[in-house]
Amino acid sequence: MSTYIIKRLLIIFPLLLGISIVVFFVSHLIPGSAMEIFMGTQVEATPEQVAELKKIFGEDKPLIVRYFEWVKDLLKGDFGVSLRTSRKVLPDIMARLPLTVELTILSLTLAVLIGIPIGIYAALKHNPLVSLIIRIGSLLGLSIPQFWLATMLILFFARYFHMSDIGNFVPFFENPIGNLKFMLLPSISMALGMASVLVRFTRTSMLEVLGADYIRTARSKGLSEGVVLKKHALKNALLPVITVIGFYAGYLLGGAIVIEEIFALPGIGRLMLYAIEKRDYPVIQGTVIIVALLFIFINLLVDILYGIIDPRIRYE
Amino acid sequence: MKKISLLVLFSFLLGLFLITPLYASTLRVGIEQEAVGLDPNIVTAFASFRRIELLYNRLVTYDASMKVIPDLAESWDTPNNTTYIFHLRKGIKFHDGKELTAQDVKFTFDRILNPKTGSPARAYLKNVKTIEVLDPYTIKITLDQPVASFLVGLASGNCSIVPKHTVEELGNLQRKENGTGPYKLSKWVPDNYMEFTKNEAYFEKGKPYIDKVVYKVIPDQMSMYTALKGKSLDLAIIRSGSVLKLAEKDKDIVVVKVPGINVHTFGYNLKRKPFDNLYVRQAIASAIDREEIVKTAAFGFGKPTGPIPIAASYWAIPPEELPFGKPDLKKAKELLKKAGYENGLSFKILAANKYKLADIAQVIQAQLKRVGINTQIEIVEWGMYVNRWKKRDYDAIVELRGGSPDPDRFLYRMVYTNGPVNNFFFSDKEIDKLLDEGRVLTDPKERKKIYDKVQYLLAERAPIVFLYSPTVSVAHRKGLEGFKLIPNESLLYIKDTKIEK
Repeated sequence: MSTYIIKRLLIIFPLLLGISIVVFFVSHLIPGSAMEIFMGTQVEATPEQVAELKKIFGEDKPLIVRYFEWVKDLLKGDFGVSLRTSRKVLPDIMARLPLTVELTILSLTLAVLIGIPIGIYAALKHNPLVSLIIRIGSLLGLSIPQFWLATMLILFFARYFHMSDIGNFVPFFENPIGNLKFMLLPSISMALGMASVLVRFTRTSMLEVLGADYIRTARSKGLSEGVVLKKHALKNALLPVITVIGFYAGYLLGGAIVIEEIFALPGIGRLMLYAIEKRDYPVIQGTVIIVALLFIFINLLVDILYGIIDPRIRYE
Repeated sequence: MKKISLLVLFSFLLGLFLITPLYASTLRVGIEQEAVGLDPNIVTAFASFRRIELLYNRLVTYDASMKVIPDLAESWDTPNNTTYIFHLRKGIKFHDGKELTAQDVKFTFDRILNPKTGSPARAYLKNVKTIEVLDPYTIKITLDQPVASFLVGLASGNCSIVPKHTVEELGNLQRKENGTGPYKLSKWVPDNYMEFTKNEAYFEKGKPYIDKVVYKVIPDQMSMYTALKGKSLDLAIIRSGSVLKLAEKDKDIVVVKVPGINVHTFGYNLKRKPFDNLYVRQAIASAIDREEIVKTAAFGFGKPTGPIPIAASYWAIPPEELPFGKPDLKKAKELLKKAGYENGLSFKILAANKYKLADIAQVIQAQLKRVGINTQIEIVEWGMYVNRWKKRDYDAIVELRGGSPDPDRFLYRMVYTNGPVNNFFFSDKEIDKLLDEGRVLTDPKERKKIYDKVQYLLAERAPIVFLYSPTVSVAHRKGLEGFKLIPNESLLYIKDTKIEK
């Protein structure tokens, strides 16, 4: 197991190198540049001014030189300075990370709490009406766009309860109640779709396991239904579900751009969106690197969890 | 007993959830975008100006009708039309307590003129020949030629006066402010909020009235509206027509509207066919229905305009009084025939998903179809749009142009041969000559005659169709008094606003 983990950790370096090349060149391939967008279409400038600005924005050097400079700084832990705000990139990313992590945890928890029990229930009960309702419900949850649900929730609460917290975001450790109150609607908007996916996955996987030989064996040796379900069925059925949750966790840590935009949440997603809009290369690159790192670690975590749940996967 | 205390605790928590505190001495403002930086001489973003105007002052400023009025300069003399002598108010203090003197003014203008600063305001001062400090409160500026719009240029946010000592210490003012304005920056949590506290030493006695102003960043317009409705905001910058319609029906909310100074235009790359053909341009101008564009693309929140922004009411001639200013499909078809395109023609329109450009493009597409002109709309992302604008890579383009109350400021850079933002390749000797004359004349009546002519010529030669000026609007809760909105979207008059308790 430990050699496996070490091996996985070593893979991170070539992976990051690849990511750095892709993100650097792709973000510079997008037409338009930070300086052009800074200037917009309405600012007058003489050619000498433009040349001066090019120097300020670092656009006077060839791309390949800029890449190596960036990687060199990166290896020293220096993520550079934002072209949009002239602030250091890393502290800015770190300042937004807690919100994104919180949103991820809250919405995943909600999704798991809603999705898995319903999924198990749907697999166990063979009532056609119940399973129809659950199937339609989960299909609906899956099809409703997040942005629509979010807007409707906001309008609904503002209209009928005169409650709106937009723009009142406070960090959790400063004011936990205010924070949770604020995070409730964004978490619900994001959790619903995920919960629906979990319902479907749990149900399918549970049905599959319940039909397996070892469940029949467990039953025939006289174990109670509860023990059969908990010890044998659930544990095996949850394996694919964990994969989905892990995937979602990585995906969510990349920032929920639409939800952050609607609820005015200062998270990773919006940081990245504005950086792309303004071609703020150091921020785009820095964010992608950090998010990629998180993604890699979550995948690793999922793999380790696999091993714990299913001893057969504890690798040679 | 235990049950009761639990109940009390529970209702206390519930209370926390439901009661939104009432801040009488705080104004909470909803704004779409975070400021990019705060250095008044450097920034270009609208979002930055909304903050800078509370923090800094200019030599002169605008009143609510965009007339130039004194700001830091109490008064000024113009011994001849190339010399300005400004008399500063005495005892004005920067936020750090140091007094503002003519040295700071000279420093600011020198800084703007230095190409290394990269200041967008350099264009406003490019005719400046000398800047002399006569005494700590008097400064003399001479120009190399008369510039009628000089004072209007000085009223721009980019010409805000900055403290010499702070710039020399910090290099620039992007992250720290030290202005003379009605408010000081007290807290800034990026992409979340910015808090301003009253400047007790502000030079207008008794102002500002409100102790604290908080700008909250809320990108989504519908969310902005519900925040206002849910009393999380007192004032919100709402531009979206559909959301404004909703807000107007709300009896707890007041919508403030003034005609804006910016202008939406429909222009062409005149080097490409068929736009080199005058009849084609006139045909397109005759096919376009401005009223319909305002109604459909802007939900009625705009006003049709000709070559001079309609809000600059002294100068502007309404489009319907100019040639090809009214929709006339028959004439359009005749003109197309004259141009040799009776079987129709087709081209592409470039637009971006910003400032309603894509919506306007769609209405124009439908209108041109009525006279047999087939167009294809290319909607691109903003950065791409700017990139193609720079390269002049389009047939036709929908734009939002930054307007000015002075016709020279607005037209010279856009339609003069090789003007800095003349991206149409438009060149017309007659118009150039008139613009040169209008630039140096200082008598308004004589100037008006010239710009009347320019407006007729521009409408007739139709290198660009000037469409409409979007309405500038904010929505606020009932009980705000004294707030005035300026056509250039400035929120400066927050300093005159009172909250009714």
